[in-house]
Amino acid sequence: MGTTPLFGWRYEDLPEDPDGQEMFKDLAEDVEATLLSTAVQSYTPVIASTGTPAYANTGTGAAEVGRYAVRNGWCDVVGFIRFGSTVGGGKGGLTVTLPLAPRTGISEQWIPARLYTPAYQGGVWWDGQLQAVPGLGVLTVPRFHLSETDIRTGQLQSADTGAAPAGSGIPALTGQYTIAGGGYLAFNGRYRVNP
Amino acid sequence: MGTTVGLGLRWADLASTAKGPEATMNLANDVEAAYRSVAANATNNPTWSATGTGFVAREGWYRNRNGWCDFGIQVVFGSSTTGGRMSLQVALPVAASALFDEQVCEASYYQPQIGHFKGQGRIMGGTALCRIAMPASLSLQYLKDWQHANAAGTSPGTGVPLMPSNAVVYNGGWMCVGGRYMV
Repeated sequence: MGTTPLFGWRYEDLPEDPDGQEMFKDLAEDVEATLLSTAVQSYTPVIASTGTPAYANTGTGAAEVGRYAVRNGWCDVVGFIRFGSTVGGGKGGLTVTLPLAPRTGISEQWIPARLYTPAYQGGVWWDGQLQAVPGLGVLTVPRFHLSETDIRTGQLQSADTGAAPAGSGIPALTGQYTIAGGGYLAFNGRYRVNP
Repeated sequence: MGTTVGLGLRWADLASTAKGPEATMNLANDVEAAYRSVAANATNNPTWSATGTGFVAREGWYRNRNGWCDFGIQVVFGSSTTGGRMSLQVALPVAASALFDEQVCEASYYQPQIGHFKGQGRIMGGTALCRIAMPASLSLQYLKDWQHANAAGTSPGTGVPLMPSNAVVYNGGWMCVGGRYMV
């Protein structure tokens, strides 16, 4: 029995007894298994905070939806996290999960992301990225501008671990927590995975 | 004639007439059809939101396959382009999945008197619309819906990005948006 080098599809080679029916059946089923394995699958993206209290997405509207597909070593992923009416953004930096860990040996990969802060300046979006590094497994670091006027980026956080948390998040929103009910975090992208 | 359970790929069983070439052809065609849900690199002529007219050019391409749509759209502004009022948006070739309220893609915009801006496309769930978000002004980095003028139609001075002395949609400028989204 021979197999193709990448997907391992079976085919008859010369040492075998001739069995055309079995040959076609094996090949058809192996191809089907490969095609179905690349179908879109669901996952739940999870946010966690590095400080205490912990992030907790609760209340009306809270939702986490994710889908992904893997083909030829690439993972396409879409995620949408809506913050519920009583969300607690926690303290310290926030992390977001991907469905699969990024490929070992690539030091960083970046996935476009968008944050919506509904109560700031009448409701505005922030252009950011999820930073995927092999050492964190499925965890990524969402990075956004430090503030509306500071182009540097930092790890998304609703508030720092200090005593006066409102307005201390990233991005910094004057007088407000960065994670607020009705807001959301969305991301779409493609990244390399193992093997 | 046997078929696989999931995708119905045909294979010759014992009841079939012995025709090796035909069996091979059937299997090859079925695999190809399953792999390519539609023809790749179809062209797309995107439409601009109802308030704008007078493009020099609109171009688009897309490939819709296996639940994902890759696309790119460019809109170039000419001397008679009018930017209209309120939020600007472009039509997508295929409706986005309703599972997500919004999906993310990259967008860029050029105003020849001012410079380049990086923004994002907001692919609205369950629709074939992509709204464009751009920095609020030359100094504010948060994004708002891209617009040439507000509801009153005052331009310059009420657009996004805010340019007190320049029009947002201006001859020689352009906007590009593209990426991959779930359908």
